[in-house]
Amino acid sequence: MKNITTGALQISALLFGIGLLGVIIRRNILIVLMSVELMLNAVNVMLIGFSRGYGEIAGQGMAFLIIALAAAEAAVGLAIVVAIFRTRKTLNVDEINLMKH
Amino acid sequence: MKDLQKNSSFRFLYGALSLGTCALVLFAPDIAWAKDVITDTGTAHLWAFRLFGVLTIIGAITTITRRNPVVAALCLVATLICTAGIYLMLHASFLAAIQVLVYAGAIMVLFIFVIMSVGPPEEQEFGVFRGTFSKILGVLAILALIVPLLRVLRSTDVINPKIVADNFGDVYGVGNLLFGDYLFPFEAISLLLLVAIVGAVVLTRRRKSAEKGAE
Repeated sequence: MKNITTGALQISALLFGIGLLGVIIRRNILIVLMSVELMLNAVNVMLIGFSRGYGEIAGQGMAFLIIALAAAEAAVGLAIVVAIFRTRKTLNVDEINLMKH
Repeated sequence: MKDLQKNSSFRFLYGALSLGTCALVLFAPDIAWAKDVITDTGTAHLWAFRLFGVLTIIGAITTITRRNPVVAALCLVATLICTAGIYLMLHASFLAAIQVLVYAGAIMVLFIFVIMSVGPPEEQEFGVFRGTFSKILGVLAILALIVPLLRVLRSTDVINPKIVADNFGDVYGVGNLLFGDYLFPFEAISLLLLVAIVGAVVLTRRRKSAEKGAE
């Protein structure tokens, strides 16, 4: 780690990779949604790392908006999970593969 | 590793390390020997940053490998709090507070609500595409993606960090941005949150039967 911004970028890369791994490997849809949140956090860490590196506050503003957006996406995603669970009675992504009717 | 996770002293150590370092950073201006942690040029600063980074990565790997979704959600809460520690080290105190309040405090509570309401997951059989071989293939694919990226970051100088003021990234600075240059995205995101709220309510409505009509 040469400097703190490079360290933030390394952490961001690792977090994104781990989140992507969770999305690919896991079958429970709730864990998949949590891995998506991990990927969003990786982007946030990168933005704030660059904001610190360049002295620009805009990166932190973008990260703030991304946090708000992640809240909205988590709410709608979980509502979809609840609706799917009510009809299919399963949380396995391999079994949720038919459209309605 | 399984025994390590089941051992409660491991969890206590993880929690104590992450929360203790957060508390140390927050109260460092009043503790004489801890001022080095928040000074940009001090070595303790970089070590605290590395500690938060390592704890975040450990938390993330633990999150995606848990079988019980409640345990995974709590591990994600710990990961997000350690990410807030990373933000503290990067002169983003407002974002660190927002991360703990909104991300770890509201979004993850929503997750735990839904996990508790759908109940425990049923036993998962190994399908054709999700067995051990494909897990290994997935890990190799992600390594092929991430390792060159890390190698580039190690070899080149991405940027020399500028020296920033002590109050960089405080509430005043980010607030000035959000209500100044970024006013339109700020209002747009409030509209998006409204749409998300209405959408979540609509999606989880129970359909009344046809005779009674839709409400």
